[in-house]
Amino acid sequence: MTIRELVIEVLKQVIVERERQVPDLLDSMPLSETGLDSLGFAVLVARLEDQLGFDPFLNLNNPIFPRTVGELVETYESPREH
Amino acid sequence: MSEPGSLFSSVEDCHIEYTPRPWDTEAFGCKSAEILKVQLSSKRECNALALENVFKHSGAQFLYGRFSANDRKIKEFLCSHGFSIYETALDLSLPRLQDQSIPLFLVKRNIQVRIAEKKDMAEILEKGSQMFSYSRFHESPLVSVENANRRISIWLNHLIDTHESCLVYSQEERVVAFIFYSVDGQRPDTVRLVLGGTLPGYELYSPYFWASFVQYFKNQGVRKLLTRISAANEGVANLYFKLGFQLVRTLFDYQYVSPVAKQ
Repeated sequence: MTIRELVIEVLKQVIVERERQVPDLLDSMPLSETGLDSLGFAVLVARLEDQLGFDPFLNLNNPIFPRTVGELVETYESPREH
Repeated sequence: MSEPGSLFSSVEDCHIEYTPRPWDTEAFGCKSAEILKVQLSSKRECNALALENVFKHSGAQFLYGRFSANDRKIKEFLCSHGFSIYETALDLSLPRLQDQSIPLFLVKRNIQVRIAEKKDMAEILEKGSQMFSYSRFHESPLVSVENANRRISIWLNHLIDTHESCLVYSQEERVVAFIFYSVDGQRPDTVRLVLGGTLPGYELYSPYFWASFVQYFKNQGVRKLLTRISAANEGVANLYFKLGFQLVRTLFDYQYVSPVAKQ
């Protein structure tokens, strides 16, 4: 499974767990419109860290804030140096 | 204890405490007042007359009040006089903060929050009124979104003018999240979170900001946090529960607009 596939798969899981309908997760879709609430997002990041072994948002001097599904995937595919 | 400046309408053993709300009058463009307490009589006619006197003496066209969701008598009284419930609020408490562990996955991000400075306030004032979708007025069909936002703007102005304490998280010198808070005069180790917001586009990251705010208070030796949220704001409710807050009270917000004001 590629990183993209894993991110999308876990994103779908978290949306379902929060009793929301999973929309078509296009790259351009804002994360706020995916059905993910803010706590769900934090759960998603923690779960991806368990599976991938890293958290691209951790300890950055300048925190990054992906706003769309595509930007989220990219954050995991090309994590910045910590 | 009565709110300073509040007024009373009493008929026999029915007592209604209320107060004019100048901010809301300014924001909504109609005379507004809030009912603060109701002590009902066993005589319905006394209750009806006391309420009628509130309208008469306050001149209010928009009247509202928050009461316990469990108070069936007040529900019956207000609903039978034209009031409707438009919002449910939850009072939350995080006691024994010093003994609480804030979930690691929310605080390990090294988000640094700080006391707001003067320049932050101007920014909060500029953007703050657009940050809210939930409040007793945002959720009410009796109030337009523009007027509800205007009311938030007036509230923010008031919080800034009265030098209410505020924490912010900023990124590249831009305020991304803020929380106004007040310290209980009687119990300085108790802090009430009054009004907080996150810049549009960053809402999904609120848990990290809020966990960092809570961590800040814990580091400052605060023992108890209190706040009030809308039950409709499910994301925030879930977040507060995750941070260890407990539900202590559920309140319904009753509102009534006189036919004159509707026109």
